[in-house]
Amino acid sequence: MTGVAIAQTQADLEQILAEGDFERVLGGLEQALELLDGGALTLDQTVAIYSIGVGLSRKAEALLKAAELQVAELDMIVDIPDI
Amino acid sequence: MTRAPISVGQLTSYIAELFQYDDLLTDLWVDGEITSVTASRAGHYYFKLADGNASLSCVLFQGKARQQTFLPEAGSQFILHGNIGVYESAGAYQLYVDVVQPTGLGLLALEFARLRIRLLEEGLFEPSRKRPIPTLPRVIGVVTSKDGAVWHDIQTVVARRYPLTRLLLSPTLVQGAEAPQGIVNALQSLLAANVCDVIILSRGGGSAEDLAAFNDERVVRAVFASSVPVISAIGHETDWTLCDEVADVRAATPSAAAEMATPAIEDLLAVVEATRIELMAMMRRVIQASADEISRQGGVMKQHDPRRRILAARSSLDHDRQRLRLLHERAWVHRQHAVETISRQVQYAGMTCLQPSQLAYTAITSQLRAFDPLRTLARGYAVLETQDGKRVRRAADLQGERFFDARLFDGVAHASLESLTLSQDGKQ
Repeated sequence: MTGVAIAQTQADLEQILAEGDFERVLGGLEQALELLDGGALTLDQTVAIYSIGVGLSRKAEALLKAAELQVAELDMIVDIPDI
Repeated sequence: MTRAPISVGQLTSYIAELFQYDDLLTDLWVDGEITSVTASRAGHYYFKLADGNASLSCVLFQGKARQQTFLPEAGSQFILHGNIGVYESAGAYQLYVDVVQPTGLGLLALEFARLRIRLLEEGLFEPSRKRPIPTLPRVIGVVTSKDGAVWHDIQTVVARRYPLTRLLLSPTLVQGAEAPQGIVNALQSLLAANVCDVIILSRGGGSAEDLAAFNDERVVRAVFASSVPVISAIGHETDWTLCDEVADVRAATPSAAAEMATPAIEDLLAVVEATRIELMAMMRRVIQASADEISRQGGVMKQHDPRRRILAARSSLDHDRQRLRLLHERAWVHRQHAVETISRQVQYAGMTCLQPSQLAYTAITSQLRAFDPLRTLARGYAVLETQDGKRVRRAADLQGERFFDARLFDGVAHASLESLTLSQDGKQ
């Protein structure tokens, strides 16, 4: 992975950390692991990705623990609920 | 009215055509005992279906035979479905069988079996078209009755396992004459909403008639056409409908369907925790690797430390000095030895070669000693010297001198000149 691609991935992960849902957060976490495992990062990048990864894991845990099931009924005559 | 004669072939074709357009003969169930079964090498079955009064030739071709749960067996009672056709070359009619069922089943079951085989032939139940269920569904659509326990059970399980998802109910009647179309509409409405990652099609337990809507061809085809994976959970574990076969996954109960559609939150928390541990382990590895690299580079630096080089040079110098000293000592000893050898040789040579010279020398010395002035003085002669130390060789040397010294063998006499007489030739 090139330096530009790594920087882009880092930016993507930061965005997921800021506004991602659980699925994206979990995917981002795996991506962070892959990046760290790839061994292509500088020490600074490693520290940054690690920091984002820890943030993502905390967010994933928080999302799971705070979640409450949302239930809706599809009204075949009126509008489709906004989901 | 007299008719012109027709050929056997024309007559047989005519009869065959009559069979083709007869409602009863093109779609009928026939009950009887199977006799004299012959299975061809190609996989076709030829047999008779008989009762006490008559017998009927039957053929079950290999393509149809493959779809059957039961195969013709001589001596057993069966109900066969198919159509009557004419085997023209033999001039015989026979039943072309497409469904073989044991006797004792009701008409509903027989039609179910027949529809199942037809849909099976069309490939609706092909295992290869089954799709995986998404692991983290954002929205789960549910097609079931709004009032039944099924909907409640699904909510309970999903809320416990994966509350991050959203449940979207598309309510419908699930039994009765209007149920099949209702189910189709509910399913299609969910698909039209285009928000579901997976759909659960479910109904609680009931009689075969209660579950009949889920064997309806329209419903089965609607499930087959679904663009979203469908989990079916119809009736109890022992019930099995065509919707179960056409769905991507069959669940034994509605709760089981809800479990299939969702990951367990405990598992996810464990995954998150494991990922965090892995993350930390990786970071530790990276830091350790960096520390190792720094240590390695430090080692390399140390190897190039000037002090180390100076020490090495000093050591080398000491070594060279030591070596030089040894060489010098060795050379000295060697030379000393050589000198001693030469000295001995010279001594020997001196002893051997200089002996004659020594003798000559002694002789010369004796001769010289005869000329020694002191010896002459000892014989009574004296040497005259002027006051300024010049030797007086002739009388003329004393001209103008008032005093002179006479050096004798054992002392000096200071004399004064009274007179001086020179010889005539001036030589005396």
